[in-house]
Amino acid sequence: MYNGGTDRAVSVNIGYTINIVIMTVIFIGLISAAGSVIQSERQSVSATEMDVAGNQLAAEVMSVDRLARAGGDETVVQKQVRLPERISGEQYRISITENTIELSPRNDPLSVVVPYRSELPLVNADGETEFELPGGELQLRLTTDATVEVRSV
Amino acid sequence: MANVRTLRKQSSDGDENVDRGQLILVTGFAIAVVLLALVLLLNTAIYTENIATRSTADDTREAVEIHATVESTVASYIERKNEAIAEDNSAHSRADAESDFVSLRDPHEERSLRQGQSLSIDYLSQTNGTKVTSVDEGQLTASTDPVEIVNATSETRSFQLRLTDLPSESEQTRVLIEDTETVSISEINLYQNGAGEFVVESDGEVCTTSASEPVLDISAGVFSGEECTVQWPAVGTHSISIVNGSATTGELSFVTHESGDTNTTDDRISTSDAIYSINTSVTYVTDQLEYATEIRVAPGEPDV
Repeated sequence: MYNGGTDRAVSVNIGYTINIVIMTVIFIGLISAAGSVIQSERQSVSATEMDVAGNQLAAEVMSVDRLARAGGDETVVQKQVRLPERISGEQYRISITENTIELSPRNDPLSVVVPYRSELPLVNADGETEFELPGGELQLRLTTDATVEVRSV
Repeated sequence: MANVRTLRKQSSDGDENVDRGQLILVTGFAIAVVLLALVLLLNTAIYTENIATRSTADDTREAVEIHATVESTVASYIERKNEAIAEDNSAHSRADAESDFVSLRDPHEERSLRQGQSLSIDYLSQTNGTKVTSVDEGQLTASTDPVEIVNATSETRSFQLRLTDLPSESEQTRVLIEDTETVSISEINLYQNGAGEFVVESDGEVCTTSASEPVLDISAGVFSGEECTVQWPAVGTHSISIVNGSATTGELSFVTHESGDTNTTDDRISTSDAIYSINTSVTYVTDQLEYATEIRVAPGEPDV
């Protein structure tokens, strides 16, 4: 088809297809590149947030321990610890052992371990010294057995 | 099929201009999405950093401080009150403690109220005792013979000797603390060695100092500012005597529980009414913390 000397013999169909292909390649490239960047940033942010939350909990545990030991037999200590419900939009769990607090997202192998030191042992409602709790607001309470009970609120 | 060539148009100068609007639009949209995601992530990171730099356990730390403040305030009050009673027992009485307590606690409670926290400090009870001191600086006792200063007391605290002069080793002064239940005797020997240093010897531990007028704190186990563990009987009824106290010059002082008999006839020893300890209760409540405890304050009590 002759069109005033401006047609370079490229058919409409081919031009349109090339446009679509180039657009798709660019779009997929950008999305996949951004996706990996976002994924790595999300993990980094998630790890930082868990580290902060873990350290906050460890600091509160040690403060409650100090407070409980400073008082006598009649001492009452009850402390609310406000940790985030979700970290990077994901629920997480808190595993407590004798010396460590581990935070890990529910659907991610990533986890952060924070050490702590407490003279009084941490226990759950069943008196176990190694236990797991869902992330969120917690309560630390000095029991009559000279332990610190940790439970979700 | 879509007519992608309808965007072809004639520019004002007559050149034909091909618009690639769709491609640019979609690419721009993709970049916008990427930037938006990065901004959201960055925002979360900044928020996390903000949280991380906030101090934690503020109210718990405040509670620890309140506990320490109550202890030091009441301890200071007991010391001042005991000194005041020893100076003038007609103007001061240990029975004033409960009423005096109001003026001690009010500033702390008011400060907490201003900060939106609830603090309650209450006087519970007190244990009376006797303060035993030297009449003035001079011989510890008037006699070279053993002088029993206190008999069968359950508790003694703040036992201090300020030493001005000590005898030679062969004429040493001995402080005897006898556990009246097990009849075991803890002995603290005081003398001056050949180098002119003051020596404290107890159960094999020897402490020396060349400082002038050093203070031996028997309850705290400190001699002239240095740790010096002296033998102190385990918790139980005990008596305190000094042998050859006339050979040593200085001053002694301690406070003993009211259960002890301090009716010594030695002219160098003076006794006065005193407060041995005070029991208080502290309740501190914030929106995140509830803390309640009872505190027994007996300043200078030995760690046994």
